[in-house]
Amino acid sequence: MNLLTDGTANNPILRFCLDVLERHGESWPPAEDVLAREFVEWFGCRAFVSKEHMRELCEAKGVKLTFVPLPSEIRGFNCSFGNQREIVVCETQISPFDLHTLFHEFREMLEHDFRELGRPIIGPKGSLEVQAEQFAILCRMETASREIPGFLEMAQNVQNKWMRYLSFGLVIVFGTAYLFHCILTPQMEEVLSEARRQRYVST
Amino acid sequence: MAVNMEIRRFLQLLISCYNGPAMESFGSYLHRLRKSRGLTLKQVEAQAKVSNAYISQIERGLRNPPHPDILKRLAKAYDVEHRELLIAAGYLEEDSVVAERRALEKAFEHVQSDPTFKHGTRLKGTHVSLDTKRFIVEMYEKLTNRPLLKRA
Repeated sequence: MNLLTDGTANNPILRFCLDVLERHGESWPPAEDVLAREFVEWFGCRAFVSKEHMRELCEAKGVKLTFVPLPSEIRGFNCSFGNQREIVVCETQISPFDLHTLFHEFREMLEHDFRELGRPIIGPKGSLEVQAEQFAILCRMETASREIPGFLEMAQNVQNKWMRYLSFGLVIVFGTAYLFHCILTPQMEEVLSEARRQRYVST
Repeated sequence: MAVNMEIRRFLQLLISCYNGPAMESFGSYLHRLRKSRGLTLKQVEAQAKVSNAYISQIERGLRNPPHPDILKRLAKAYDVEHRELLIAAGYLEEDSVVAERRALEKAFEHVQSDPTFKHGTRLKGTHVSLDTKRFIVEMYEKLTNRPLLKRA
């Protein structure tokens, strides 16, 4: 443990894991939504980010992020060796599916570090894949919920009464649609990739 | 009996040293194949109708590679091509495609067993194709600076 804590200066993810451990050590493991909330706060990500911005955010956390063509069945990949960490996201993934994959890969990295610290969140019967998918959904919902108050405030400031109502309506409709999108991302990806596969077969 | 087996093992070790580290015996190849498929000896016995004691002896190098007919049944159980087992057993000459595939599978297993390299993949489904294995091995080579695959 001491060995690990000594090396945290070059390892922001490990530092984050230690902070989580410090805050929730008494009632371990923390709920997935709590972890997602703290991760989004730490990562500083917004609901809509460009690939370039994602790269910058990852770099700030000591992770190299690349978007490259990947074999057809891979959406994302993460690996770490010593202090080197890298996440690869399939370049054909459109936004915000790429953000979902990014959060998924981060969750796997976090679990590896928690295991190394001797405090895994997922038990022997749990599935890291399933948990990482849930974490990605929760992170995206968290980023969206952070944006909504700002949009509501903008709607509040609209002078014209009907335009103000319309703005509120739009924020609520788009906010709800985005939250559903977050929840249904894995299913939507399946449908999209199946449609793409069938198009490929038929042409 | 036990002394005999030890002598045999020692002789096999000597032979494998003489052949060089790149040569893998049929027994260890079969053992690796079974482990990579997550099969027990009993499961192979049930699927291929070949005695588990016999398979165990082959894996430990105490028996010669079995008859091609038995290899055909084992190929089905291990989900590999019959030709691949025939090549591994020395009945057929190895072609470059099979050699490359075997090298890749071996490299992938090395990556999986290295505790210093932590990795995870977001997959569509559960099948891990050869392309995916190659990608993971290449990522390993890049990050660790340890070449595993020969390149032309």
